[in-house]
Amino acid sequence: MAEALNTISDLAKGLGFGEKSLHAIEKHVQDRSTSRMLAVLRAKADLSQKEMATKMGVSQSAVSKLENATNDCISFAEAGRYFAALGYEMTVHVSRPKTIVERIKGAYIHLTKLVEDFQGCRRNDPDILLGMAKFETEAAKNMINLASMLIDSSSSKLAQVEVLTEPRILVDDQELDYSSASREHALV
Amino acid sequence: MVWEIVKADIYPGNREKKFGKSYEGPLANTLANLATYQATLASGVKPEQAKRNLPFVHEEKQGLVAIDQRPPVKGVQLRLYLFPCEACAKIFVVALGDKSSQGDDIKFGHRFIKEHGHG
Repeated sequence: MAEALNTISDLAKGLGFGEKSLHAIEKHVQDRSTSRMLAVLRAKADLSQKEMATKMGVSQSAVSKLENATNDCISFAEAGRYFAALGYEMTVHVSRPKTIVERIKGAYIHLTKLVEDFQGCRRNDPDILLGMAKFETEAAKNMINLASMLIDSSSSKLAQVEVLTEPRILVDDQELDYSSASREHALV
Repeated sequence: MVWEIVKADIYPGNREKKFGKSYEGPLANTLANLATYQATLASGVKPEQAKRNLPFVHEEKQGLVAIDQRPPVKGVQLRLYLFPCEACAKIFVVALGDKSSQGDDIKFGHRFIKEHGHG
């Protein structure tokens, strides 16, 4: 029977190494996760090392060296140049670990900013205006689906706490009068 | 897309013990290259394109490829023979060998591909 292996380490385990050697091999493979990503992106762009070197304005051996370097030997500047040559932007995200609630709040702020940026792209061109309007309608539908998901979820939780005759909405810990809110925010 | 690594059912186990113990460094490089090859296929790149762009992958005909230990290019010429099966998204590890066993390893790989109905 063919033997399915979950990881490269599983393959190495069958090669007669001791624990110490196995650990060294696993570390060797893990330490090249960044350079591996570089090589994968280049192959995906269907570029040889030589073509990549021309794009970056460096020698082929410099590309090869970068694609075989350990994670601690690749600088942000080198990785940035490599990604830029492939048409990618590099964003370094540094933060303390966040709770899921903090991540959702952060995503909301980020999304609001993106929508504002998008609206700033408005031009007096019928095709652009039509395209933007279509996208905004689609985005609004997605937001309504998300809002509906949140309301259903919060309602079902509140229903476990007390029997409700209609959905209850909390905004900033204040209960919203659903019937009056519906009237106030009714679409005309 | 997930590409599973599978040790072929006719894999010569006695051979791997010999190479495993003798060539720890080159083998670590070869396995790191296998990880890159697997990640490349998983990103949606076809085996033909991966072979064209990854310098450590060698064409051995009939769908068989060999992954070497580079870098370094000189020294031990370790090779891991693979058959990437697109239909089943599996990378069959067929044999591990060096320059001295190259001819036999390639024949071995071609036989595996034929026996499994891919040839």
